[in-house]
Amino acid sequence: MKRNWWKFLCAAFLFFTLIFGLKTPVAPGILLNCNSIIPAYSAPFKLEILGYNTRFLQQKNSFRAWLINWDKNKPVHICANSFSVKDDTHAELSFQPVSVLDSMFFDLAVYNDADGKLYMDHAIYSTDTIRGGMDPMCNVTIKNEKQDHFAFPFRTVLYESIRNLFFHVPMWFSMIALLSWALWNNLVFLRKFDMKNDQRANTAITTAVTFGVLGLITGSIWARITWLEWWGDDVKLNGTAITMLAYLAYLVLRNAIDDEQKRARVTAIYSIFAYVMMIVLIGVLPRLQGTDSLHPGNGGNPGFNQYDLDNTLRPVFYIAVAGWIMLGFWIYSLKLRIQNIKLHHNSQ
Amino acid sequence: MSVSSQTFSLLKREFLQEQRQKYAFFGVLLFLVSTIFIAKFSFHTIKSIPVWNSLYWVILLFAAVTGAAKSFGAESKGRLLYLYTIADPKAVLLSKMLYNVLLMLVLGFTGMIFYSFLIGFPVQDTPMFLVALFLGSTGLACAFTMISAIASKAGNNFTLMAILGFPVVLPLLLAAIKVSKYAADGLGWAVSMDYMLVLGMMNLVIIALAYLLFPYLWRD
Repeated sequence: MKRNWWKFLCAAFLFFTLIFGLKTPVAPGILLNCNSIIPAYSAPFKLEILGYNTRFLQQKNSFRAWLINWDKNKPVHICANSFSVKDDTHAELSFQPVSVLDSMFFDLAVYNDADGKLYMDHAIYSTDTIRGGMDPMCNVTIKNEKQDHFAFPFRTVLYESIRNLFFHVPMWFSMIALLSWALWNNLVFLRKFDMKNDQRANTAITTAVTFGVLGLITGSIWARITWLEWWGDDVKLNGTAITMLAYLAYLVLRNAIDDEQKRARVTAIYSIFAYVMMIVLIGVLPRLQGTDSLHPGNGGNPGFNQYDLDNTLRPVFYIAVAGWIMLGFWIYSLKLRIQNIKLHHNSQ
Repeated sequence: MSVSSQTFSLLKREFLQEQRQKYAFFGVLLFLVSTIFIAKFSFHTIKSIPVWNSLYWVILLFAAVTGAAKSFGAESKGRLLYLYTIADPKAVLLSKMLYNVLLMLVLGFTGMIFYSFLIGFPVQDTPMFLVALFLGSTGLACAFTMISAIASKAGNNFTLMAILGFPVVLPLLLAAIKVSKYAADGLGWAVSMDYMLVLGMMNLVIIALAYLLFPYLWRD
């Protein structure tokens, strides 16, 4: 019992990940449900907005909406002169003619007491370059900018699939942890030639391959939702696929050699090669400029940390990572024990 | 005898063997030339740079597998045992590696001459392309020497060699394809410096790993 405390911790962490990862709502957000170009010559125009998890109707009295145009880093607010709220997620805003100040882009902000301030960057833009008179400025001071209930951030493209962060990413962490453990055992094996290390490395690699396959599957589902294709043209994706091939080749090599001691030695050497190539494929090549990657932090993209991993995702993500890594080692230890029992059984 | 002098005498032995048998080098060269002819008959000329570039690297990859498979595969068990008793394993590896690097460089450059003669040479930055070809062929040769040593311990079949080799050389090949494509597009050294460095580093890492690990593999 004393030795197995981490298994309880692992189960608790994964339970927490499942409950919080799947039950926490995504924060309210807004999308545009109409053309995002302002009609030419700044005629009066209407905007249809689509709320996500919003309560427009419930909070009709505190509902406000305005556009923001940036005039040399100074915001100019243009309030909607009238609006009609259809239901909790649909509203129509109408605006007086606006003139383009410094930027042709207008950000959209919607406020009500329940949802707080909802913001949409570069919501609409104007092709009209005529600079008219001053726009109707309005006072948009509000009490509380953001409601502080616990919710995952609303991101366009990602939406609800942001939860996959707790499943897709930890699979790779878990795989790399297990492969590193296998690498360590391979190195020790080449020093001491103890078959125990070989068995550990082999079991760790088979478990890691399972996690890698799960990572590819969760990634493929995520890619279908966000990038609209099951298997995209992405360096990191193809790099991991090649890594999986290298470790599958390791398993093939294991079956090709009969002598135990020789098999352990040869496969240890091959798996060290495979590990180094994995570091290059996953860690180095995708980070170079000029590669086609859609992953955050790769091919010149900003890292996930910078924008998306906010304070609501962070605690759940870290617990998920710890939980999945521990699960990996749990499965590994069970496999190792089963193998030992089989070995013992055969020798009797 | 030191490792370096052993390496040179073993390398001399490789060349001597080559001179007497002549099949390894000319066999692979024939393979290369006939593949290029097949490409010529099916494509005539290739206008698209990515196709032109990657087709050549694919041809070179298969030539490297065919060429390097002979490095440990062609040795009989008795001769390997004899080598083991008289030489340092590091010298054995280095001599084979050096021989394969020379073989691949000769094959890569003569193949390129044939290829550009028959199919075209749409490269704008020739020096950079030659550097990419040099680094790429060196890396392929080093990686496949080590893989051939591993495969020779596992019954030496060609399929196993391909299965083990391709995942290991793929990152190297991807970087080489990228650099040579940049060279063909004439994008300049600054753009491809990162890839060039990665390619060079990968060569060094493969050589260092092979040098450190081969003595363990060698023992029987």
